[in-house]
Amino acid sequence: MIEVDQLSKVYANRRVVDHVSFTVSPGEIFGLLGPNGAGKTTTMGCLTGLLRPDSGRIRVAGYDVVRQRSQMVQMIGVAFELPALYPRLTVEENLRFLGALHGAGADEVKTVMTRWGLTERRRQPIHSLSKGWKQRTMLARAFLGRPRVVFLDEPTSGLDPNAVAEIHQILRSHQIEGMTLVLTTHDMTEAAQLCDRVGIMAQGHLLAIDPPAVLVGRLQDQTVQITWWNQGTLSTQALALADPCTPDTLSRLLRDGTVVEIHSTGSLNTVYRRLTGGDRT
Amino acid sequence: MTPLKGMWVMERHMARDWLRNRTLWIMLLLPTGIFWAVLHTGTSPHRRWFVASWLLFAQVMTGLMIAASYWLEEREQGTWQALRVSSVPIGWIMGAQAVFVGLLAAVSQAGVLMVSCGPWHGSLGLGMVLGGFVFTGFGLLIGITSPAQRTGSLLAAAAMIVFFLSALIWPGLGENTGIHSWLSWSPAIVTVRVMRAGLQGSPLSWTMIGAMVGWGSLIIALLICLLHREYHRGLPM
Repeated sequence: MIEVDQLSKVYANRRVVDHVSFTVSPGEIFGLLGPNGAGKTTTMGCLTGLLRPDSGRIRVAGYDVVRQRSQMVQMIGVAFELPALYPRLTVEENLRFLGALHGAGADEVKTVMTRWGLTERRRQPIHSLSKGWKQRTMLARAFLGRPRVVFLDEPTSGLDPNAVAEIHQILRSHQIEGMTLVLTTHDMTEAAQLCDRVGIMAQGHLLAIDPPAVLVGRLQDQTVQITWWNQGTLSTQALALADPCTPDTLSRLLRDGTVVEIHSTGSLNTVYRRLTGGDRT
Repeated sequence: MTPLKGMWVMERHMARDWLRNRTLWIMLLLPTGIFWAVLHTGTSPHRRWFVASWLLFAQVMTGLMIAASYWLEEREQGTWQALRVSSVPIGWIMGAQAVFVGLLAAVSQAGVLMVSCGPWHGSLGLGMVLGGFVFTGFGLLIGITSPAQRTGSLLAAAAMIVFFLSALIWPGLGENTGIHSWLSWSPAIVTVRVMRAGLQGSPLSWTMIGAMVGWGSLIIALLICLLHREYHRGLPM
């Protein structure tokens, strides 16, 4: 569904995206992760046709983003980090206008509003909504016009856990219908839960690309931190997974029924910090 | 969606959005209101020049200021990006914005004309329409080149004052001075001269019309270059 081949982009003599290549399959949720300035937003800009790549080729939904841009934009939906909505207009007016530009009729707008739980608030002006509802309206907008690929920039940033869970559920339901989703996020939990595969970028390079579980599994020095009741007091110990004694110790403690908590240090967050150099600080 | 339908969708949207904006109403009615007040304080031997200058004020107030603030608002709230990834070509979207603001400028000028109680001639309309679009174009240019709403608004206000004041002081400058002939080709003076001819019923000066069309073409060329630059390098930071 998306083919990126040797994409590069230079700003003021600085190569912000450097020969990045990856593919995204139809119906996949793909996450682009990386610290600020890693080149994610520029990559997204090139993928959505907002920026022209300096070199390399990108095909989205079968169309070249430079030479067939007008056909390509009809296949995509984009939710930006900024609300990108008209504050004086109501939820419904915003969706109708922005939907009309993507060829969505009134019926489709109604269906999308229902799906995103916006029906009750459809007559409220955007300026009177909370951040969560604005975000929801903006996300709903990206799905108007029956796009085949939807790009989401920080879709749940700053939202409460219930809203995040609800949005994840809606995004998964779109995936089940065969839509391809590409998102950027700084939330590693979100990436691990939602994405089929993630790409980690830093300084314009794509450092790793794989399913989150595979990336975590590649960590050589994973440990589990175990907390258990030890003769009336709580004890905590870190056990290296590579240590041959660890399985025996773990199963003994579990058999005794004294384990309070097991916490794995191997997470997507660890992988991210190692790859992007965050673990050195 | 055809580009024309896209333009129509944009026009309806802008009307719905901007007619809820109180600032727009003030900017739209202010030229007529002030002109009405000034006219009722007495008559002036320079009435024709005065009417033409006030029509220019209506053009820069509505055309330039509204176009700039509309564009800056689009950029600041991120809706410009959303419009750029729609299936309507960006040139048509900007065209729709220019038509809407140009119409507002025409409404504002019509208000001034109604208060001035004529007489005027059909050729005046050409100056009003062309001038309206030239200053709308300047507004879009300011909007697209300004990094933030505050600086853009300041720049638009400064440009409005410069255009209006230059038209006011121009008749007082010595005709043989270099600045007089240099300023006579500025968009403000060219517009006022065309409209003055329309008010007097004089034949149209094709040189002046050509100059206005030239300014309009230059602005369109600059807008195309800036949009092209935005696509290659991103928004001005």
